[in-house]
Amino acid sequence: MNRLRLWLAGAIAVLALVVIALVVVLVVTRGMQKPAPLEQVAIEVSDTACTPSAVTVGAGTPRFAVKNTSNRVIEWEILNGVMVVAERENIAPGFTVELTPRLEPGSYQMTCGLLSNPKGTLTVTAAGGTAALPAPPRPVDLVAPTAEYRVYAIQAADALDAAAGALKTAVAAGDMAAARTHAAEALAELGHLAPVLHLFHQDADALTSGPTALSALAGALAAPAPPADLPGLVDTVAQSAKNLAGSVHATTPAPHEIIAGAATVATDLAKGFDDPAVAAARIAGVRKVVNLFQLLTVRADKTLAAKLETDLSGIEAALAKSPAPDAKALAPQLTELGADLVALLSALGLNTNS
Amino acid sequence: MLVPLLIMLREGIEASLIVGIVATYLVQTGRRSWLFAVWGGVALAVLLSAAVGLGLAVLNADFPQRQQELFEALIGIVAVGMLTSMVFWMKKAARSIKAGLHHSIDEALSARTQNQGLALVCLVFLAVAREGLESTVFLLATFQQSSGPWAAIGAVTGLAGAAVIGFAIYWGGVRINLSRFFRWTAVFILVVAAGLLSAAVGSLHEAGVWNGLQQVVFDWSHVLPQESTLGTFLYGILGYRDTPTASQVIVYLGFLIIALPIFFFGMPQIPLRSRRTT
Repeated sequence: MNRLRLWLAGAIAVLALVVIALVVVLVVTRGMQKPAPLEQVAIEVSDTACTPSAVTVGAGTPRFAVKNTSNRVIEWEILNGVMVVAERENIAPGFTVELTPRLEPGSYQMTCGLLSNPKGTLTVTAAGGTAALPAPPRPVDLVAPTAEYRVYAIQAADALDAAAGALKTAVAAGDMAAARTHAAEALAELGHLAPVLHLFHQDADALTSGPTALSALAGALAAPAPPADLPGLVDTVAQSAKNLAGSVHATTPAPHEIIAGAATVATDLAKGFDDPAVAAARIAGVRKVVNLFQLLTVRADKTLAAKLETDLSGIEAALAKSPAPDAKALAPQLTELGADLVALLSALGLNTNS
Repeated sequence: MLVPLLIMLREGIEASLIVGIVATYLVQTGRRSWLFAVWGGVALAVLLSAAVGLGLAVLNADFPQRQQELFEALIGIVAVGMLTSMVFWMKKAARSIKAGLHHSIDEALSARTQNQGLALVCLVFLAVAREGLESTVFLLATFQQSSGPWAAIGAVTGLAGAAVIGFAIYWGGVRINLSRFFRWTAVFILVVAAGLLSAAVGSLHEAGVWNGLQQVVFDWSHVLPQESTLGTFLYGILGYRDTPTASQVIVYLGFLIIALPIFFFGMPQIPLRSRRTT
């Protein structure tokens, strides 16, 4: 008897603490935004009927939000014949309850308040489940890939900055072999950044055009006699790279800017390129964009997702070959990739604000 | 305000009825010392329900209605079994009562007293836990969804009302003369058990387990709605349904048709008569 007393007291104390802790968690997280499901079927139950009274959803786990607009307490059931497939009880007037039943394809009925009220119909289609129904992403879905891309861009810009600094040091030391290595590194990182360079043209212009363009510099370093003003040129390169890195750190590119930029990279490459290695670096930059948005692409348009993958892997394989094919041979594939990236913009619902 | 009140009253009565009956029974059979365990069982069940309900809210998880219905049905059937055996066991024990002396009942009970006490405390725990989770979820909804404080106040009042009813049953029960308690409370308990059994059949249907005989026998939802004040009391105590299915009616009436005659006529001796013969 005493052992029972002790045991009860202990269990009650522990549970009381758990309840208090949970209440605290609930109160603290109250204001936080809960992730809303992609698709939610809103149903209102009045005194006489359900609105809408006929609902069609994809098989899987559709989410229902049932609101009681009548003035009596109701329960809401999904029926398969007489069998109750899913239900919610005790829905007070004005209250909304949510449920996420697992539904096989077929025809169901929904109860709509009083027994004498007409039942609603619920049709569950086999269209691959709710999650796989084509759906453009919501703004919140774009946050993660965009943030991840920003991290990638910052890493590439920092690497470019480091390579340009090392290039300057190597030139000052007269170590032409090291200078060539660092110039190639810088050129590769610049290629990775290609989709968003248009956002930073003030800093990037010096690195992409004129005598200080990294590609021109790499060529000059490979020549038997380096240009006389080499130290001045690499100084400008190092400074531009530093500025560019600063700007990249300070900027969060928008999703449509990233994808539109990747499309431009592909169409520009289709016009021609000199160095297959540079082209490969730029394609790697495009690949990053496609990969980051791939989940959303698959959800919005499976065919387009598959096509982008085919485009990219074909180009990558060709560029990896030795000797690399010339730009002309790759032009149709690159044009295709550019067009598909433009299509991706509309598939993700981004074309309106680009 | 009235609707949340009645919802919580209904959920609460289902539990407080069993708690009140068990507590009365323990006292009437000379086991007042077990009352602490009854309150402990109630507190444990309330806290456990609150913890699970709040946990579901924190995890933003769906309320597992199907499992809840199955749980309700199983506990309901267990409760029916225990209440019924309690009634008949009480009657058997009453035969040993001479002039309502409690010490003789103690002797009659001593061998099984410990085990039965534990079983009854478990029943109290399960009966409260059975309604507790759904009540927690509903209470949370009233706090989160209602625009004013009235829904929450109503819900809490309903819960308090159910507790008062449980206490009333206990206070009334322990004051009744022992032999009368055995006879008339027993009938009341059997009616409660019939209601519990028919509710369990309903829960089994809602859990997707039992789908036979689902024709609705009558629809009184316009005449005496189950969620009206009177309907709530009738539901909580007698198991009233405004739209009962054939299986519920059959189980309800069938249970009473079998149990009541056995109770009144099945045993050769009942306390009142035995007292007269001695």
